Amino acid sequence: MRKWLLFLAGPLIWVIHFIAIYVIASIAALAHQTHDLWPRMAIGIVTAAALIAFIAALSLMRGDHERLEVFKRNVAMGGVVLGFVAVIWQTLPALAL
Amino acid sequence: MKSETGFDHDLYKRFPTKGPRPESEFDELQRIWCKPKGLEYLTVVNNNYVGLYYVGGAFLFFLLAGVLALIMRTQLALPLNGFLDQETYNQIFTMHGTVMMFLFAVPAVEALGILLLPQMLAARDMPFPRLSAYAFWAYFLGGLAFFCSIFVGLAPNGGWFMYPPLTSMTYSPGINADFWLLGIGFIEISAIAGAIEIIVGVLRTRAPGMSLDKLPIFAWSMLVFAVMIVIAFPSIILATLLLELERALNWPFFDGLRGGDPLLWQHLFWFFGHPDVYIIFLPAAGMMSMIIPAITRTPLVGHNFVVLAILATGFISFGVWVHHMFTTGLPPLSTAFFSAAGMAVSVPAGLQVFAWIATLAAGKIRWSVPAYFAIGSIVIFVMGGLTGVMLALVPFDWVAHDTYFVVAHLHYVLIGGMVFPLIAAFYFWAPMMSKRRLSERLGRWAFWLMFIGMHVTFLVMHWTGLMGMPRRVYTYPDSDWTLPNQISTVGAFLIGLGVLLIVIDLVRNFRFSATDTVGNIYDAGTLEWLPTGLYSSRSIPVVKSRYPLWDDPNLSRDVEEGRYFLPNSATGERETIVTSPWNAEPQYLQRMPGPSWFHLGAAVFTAGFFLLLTVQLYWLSAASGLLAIGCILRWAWANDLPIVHTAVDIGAGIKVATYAHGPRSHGWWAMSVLLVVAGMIFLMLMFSYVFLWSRQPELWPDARPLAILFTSLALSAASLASALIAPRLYARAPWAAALLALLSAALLTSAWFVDALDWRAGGLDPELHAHGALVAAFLSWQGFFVVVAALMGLYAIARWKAGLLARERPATIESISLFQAYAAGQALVALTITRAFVLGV
Repeated sequence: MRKWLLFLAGPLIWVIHFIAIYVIASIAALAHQTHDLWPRMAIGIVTAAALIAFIAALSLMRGDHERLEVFKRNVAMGGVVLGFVAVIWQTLPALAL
Repeated sequence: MKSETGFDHDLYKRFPTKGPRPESEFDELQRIWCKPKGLEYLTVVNNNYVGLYYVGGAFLFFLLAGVLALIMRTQLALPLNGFLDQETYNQIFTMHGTVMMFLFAVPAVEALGILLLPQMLAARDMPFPRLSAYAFWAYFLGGLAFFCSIFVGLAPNGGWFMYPPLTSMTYSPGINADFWLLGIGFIEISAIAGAIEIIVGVLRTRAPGMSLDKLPIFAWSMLVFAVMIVIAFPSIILATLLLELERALNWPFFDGLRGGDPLLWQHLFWFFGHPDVYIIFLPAAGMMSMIIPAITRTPLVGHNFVVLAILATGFISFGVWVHHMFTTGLPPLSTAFFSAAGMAVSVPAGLQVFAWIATLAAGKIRWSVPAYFAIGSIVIFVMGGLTGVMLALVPFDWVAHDTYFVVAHLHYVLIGGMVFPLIAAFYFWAPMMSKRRLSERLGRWAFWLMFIGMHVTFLVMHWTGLMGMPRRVYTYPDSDWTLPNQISTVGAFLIGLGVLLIVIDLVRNFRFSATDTVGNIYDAGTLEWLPTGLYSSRSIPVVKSRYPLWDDPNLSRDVEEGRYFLPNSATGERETIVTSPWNAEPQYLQRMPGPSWFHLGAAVFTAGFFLLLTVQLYWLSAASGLLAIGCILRWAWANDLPIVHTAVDIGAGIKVATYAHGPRSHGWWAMSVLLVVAGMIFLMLMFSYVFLWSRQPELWPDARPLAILFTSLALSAASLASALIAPRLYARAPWAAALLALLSAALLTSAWFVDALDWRAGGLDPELHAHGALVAAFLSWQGFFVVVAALMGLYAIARWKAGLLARERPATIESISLFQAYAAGQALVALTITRAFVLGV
């Protein structure tokens, strides 16, 4: 299980971040406070946490030079980079609204 | 390489073996994996046959839905045309979308998975051959009956997305909508059965040495496809259940006047519907990633990036469901995320396109029909992808929503992203299973007709939409819309002509054979091109690279001479090697079932249950359901039987066990995936509960007595404990484990009754308000698990009485325990959720 979690760390962090900001936005909408400061602050904190998690995941991705290990590391690192960009991409417009 | 399971990788050096192999072992292999005769064609389970039936069935539905499209285009060729009346047009466009999406697209790619994966992974067959056959027959028989509803004017007419309130009893009082809601029930079951098969097949039945870095891209895409089905389909299963319950029992989940909300349907539907586009696209993209290297004789450029793209698409596509709901008035904060995700998902899709283009540029294209369709697919898909990014922009979506622009976009994506790759795949892999190759001349004619027809039909449709013509109207006034509609109709018939040529080609030239085939005419490098029979390849090779046939010119000969794993039948039965998920190290030999009538009966009666329910023949439907359960139990009875050989030689003196249990076993994996499906349905039900509560929290009722909650919780917890203890007790006393399974079911049943009776005592009325309807839905869902858990408990006792529970074979009790533990856990969560919200938490 640990191997799979590390292999899919990038997209998984993206999913957790996405669910978190969706929930925050929904709660804000429920309270009619979408234009208040607190939803944006909450989204900002969650996003910062996600970005730290990406960096932490990246630091765990070590391994030897066996072909399978290299493949796993390359795909996992690519996932982290893609997830990192995706998180920033989808959060910035919301914070700017 | 570090071992994953303790298997010594130096053992691979024993292959290919030297010296002659006994002739008798090949004869025995042929006898065990023999060709069916007469009625055996119905009961056959071999993936060559089931896969071909499946592909044939899906293609038949493609043709039928295509004919419906031509009828629609005929109606729209002229303004104020009277070729079709409004009601018939509504039924036809609904059936066109429904059949294309549910009866063609998803089954077609699943079918190709079942047909190709065993050969591509060098497994003897899929891990659950009867499940594949069950999935096919339930889908095919149910699908045919469903389609026939159009001939009697009973076809659904609310669009393929069936939005309430249009599809509620008030506005759709007939049984047309029920045909859709119940009719696709068996298709969902079939898709999930296939997904379980594919996940376990790809992860556990690969050829030794085929570690994940060497896994063919098609297998990667099928793996992600299957996982996406497991995550996405539960949402549509729940949505259809809730809407059918609303229609049949007047439980107001989507009725805004009684605490429901039609938007709930849209959330549930599109949580399935948008990923479904990628569910269809990914396997087709996987096919492209196999075909393009072969036609250019060049390894796929950026293999690792393509794997990453497939995985990323699988994830990000689930963040795009609100993409279809921008006009529903959601807060801008939420729509911004979904808009961004809608654009972001094009990045991994684009990554794959760049990899294909780079591969085409790196190699030399050998022009053939698969090459034409593959390259045509890239052109069309990119155009569709670009308009997809346009639609992800909220302001543009507000303008183009519900116009023909969207129709043009989705056809570009689906035809470019799925239909063209599928036809490329037909032409590419047909030589693997046919005595004659398909015609190059007819194929090229078909390509140009379809390619030109596609653009003539749908390119102009972008402008039709931007000129303001809405979707789903059966006619229009004589106006600027007339000319583009006429052009689209001409284009549609060109596509139809192209498809007709493919049908003629298939009829003239496709002649199925497992042994006497045209073979590897495209000089591809992957294992499905090894010489094969109904047993797949004669022996199972050790895989050392991504393109083993290119890297080892002697591989085909050595495999055919039986110089690798399993050159014979080690147990005298059908069997395949189960390998570890990462490194594909041999773990044990799985004994596989042969043909049977029971899975066929189960499929017929499953389809019968849903269809008879639709036409309101309730008693016959119940009888059909009971017969389906009976067939499934009888089918299961033949599993986990006594073992004759505990360990066998699978080649070169390497011995493995013939039985496994727990997390090592394929059965445990299948049950786990099934429970993920159940868990997802439950999760979506919880989402529905919270969503509807958030609409009108002040109207939800007062608390129920806490004492009852604690009693139910205690009973459920005791049920969970019994389920968890049962397998631990099994090695010492199988009979005690069987009794514990029954006890777990009894405790769970008691918990359910205590909970249900308390709600009843509190005057819960599911018809009065959405809260009552949701609680009743929770009770119904949990009630289903209570019944299955009870059946399992009785089944365990029956196996004990029949002397089939042996200490060395705990797989049956482990599966029962897993299910019962899940059911008890679900009860604990359901109790807490339904009562916590009533308490006002």
